[in-house]
Amino acid sequence: MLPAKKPSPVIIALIVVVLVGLAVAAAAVVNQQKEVAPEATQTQQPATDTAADTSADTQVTYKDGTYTEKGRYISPGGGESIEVTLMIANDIITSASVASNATSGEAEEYQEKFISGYKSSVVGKDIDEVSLSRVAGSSLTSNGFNAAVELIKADAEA
Amino acid sequence: MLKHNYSFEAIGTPWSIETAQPIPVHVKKVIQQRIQSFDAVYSRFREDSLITQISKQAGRYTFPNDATKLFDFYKQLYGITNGKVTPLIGDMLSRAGYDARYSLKPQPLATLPDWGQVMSWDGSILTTTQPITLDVGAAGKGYLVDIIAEILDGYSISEYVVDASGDLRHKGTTENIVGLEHPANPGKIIGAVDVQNRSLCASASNRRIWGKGMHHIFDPDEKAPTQDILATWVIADETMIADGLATALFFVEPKILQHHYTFEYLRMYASGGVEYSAYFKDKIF
Repeated sequence: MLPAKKPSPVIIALIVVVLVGLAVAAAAVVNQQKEVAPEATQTQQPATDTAADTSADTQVTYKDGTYTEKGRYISPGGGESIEVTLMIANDIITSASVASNATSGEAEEYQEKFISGYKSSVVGKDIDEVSLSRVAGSSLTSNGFNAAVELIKADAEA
Repeated sequence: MLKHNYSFEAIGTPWSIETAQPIPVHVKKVIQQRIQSFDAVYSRFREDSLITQISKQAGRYTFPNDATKLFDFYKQLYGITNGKVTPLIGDMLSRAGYDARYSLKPQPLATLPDWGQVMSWDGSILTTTQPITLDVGAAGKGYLVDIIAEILDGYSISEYVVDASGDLRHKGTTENIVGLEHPANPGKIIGAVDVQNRSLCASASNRRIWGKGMHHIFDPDEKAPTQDILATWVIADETMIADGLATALFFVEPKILQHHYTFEYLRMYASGGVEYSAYFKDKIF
């Protein structure tokens, strides 16, 4: 019997980074450097993995599932918390979300600014599926550049 | 939708200025003259430009007043990104083949000099200690968009979109839905945003490619084009800022820049994942 798997250090590290960044931002903006104590509190643990096979190198490192962590920090306006939820499948973070539990308006604003997201894959839509005024991606290139690239290609094929 | 579209090619890329009313001919002339005067100073691709002169010998050079704002911003970015975003990148781009003649033939690359060792600015006067190849590609186009927008403002044109192919500024009340082009698949968009009275700049490595792995966003320390990030989008109040930050996001974490600037961002990794600030959350497909 293997010991129950702990939530991954990577996730904890990620959350700590999030919280430290947030706390520092919140403290710095009001220019009042008070002591900041980020603290990740585990609120949900994945079920114990009983079917693990230690001999297999292909074994996943982290158990699939949803992990939620709540972190607390002290802002100049009092105690605040933020909740981070990660979904993991095959060792990949498939979605991440951050919920703000800010109690003061100021903290809410700072958390809102900090909350960012990550999607591991984006499907996209065909350009003509959406009504657009214009498109922005990489700059279109000038005729001079395009002509030069054509020359290079021709050289390479010769 | 704005009905009138004034299109032209300038500084190596197509431009379009959309307006509610036609732009008067004399205003178009002012715009073209301004672009020409900008190009005559800042183009690395013109034999007669000031930047080309500076690349030939050390000396004291007087820039127009607009240089102060541009190089102040560059200096900030240089500090924040530890020299990754630098106007001195011109030499490396040139040697890599992205030179004035578009030779596209890579030569061995030299380490870039430090800003403080080779150039000092006093207002709009530059003093150099050796020939340097400046390249303002990271923020110059966005800056020119701001300059053109200012001209339109000056002629009381109140509804417009200045779109310099990837860097755009909107003013007015008309809808301006901008599709975010998938860098690996230009027939697709990964999201859409309505950019109102702000600027959006996109930067991607997929189009100016001249050989295996060769594109125009170079990491000065690696002496090679960046590889991890495929594309970035930034929304900010000023186009110059959005443009510069879109480049900086190829090198540094967004939160480092968020300590200094107010902006929204989206960036796409080579792995296909995207990372974004709150504003973009519900705008990605």
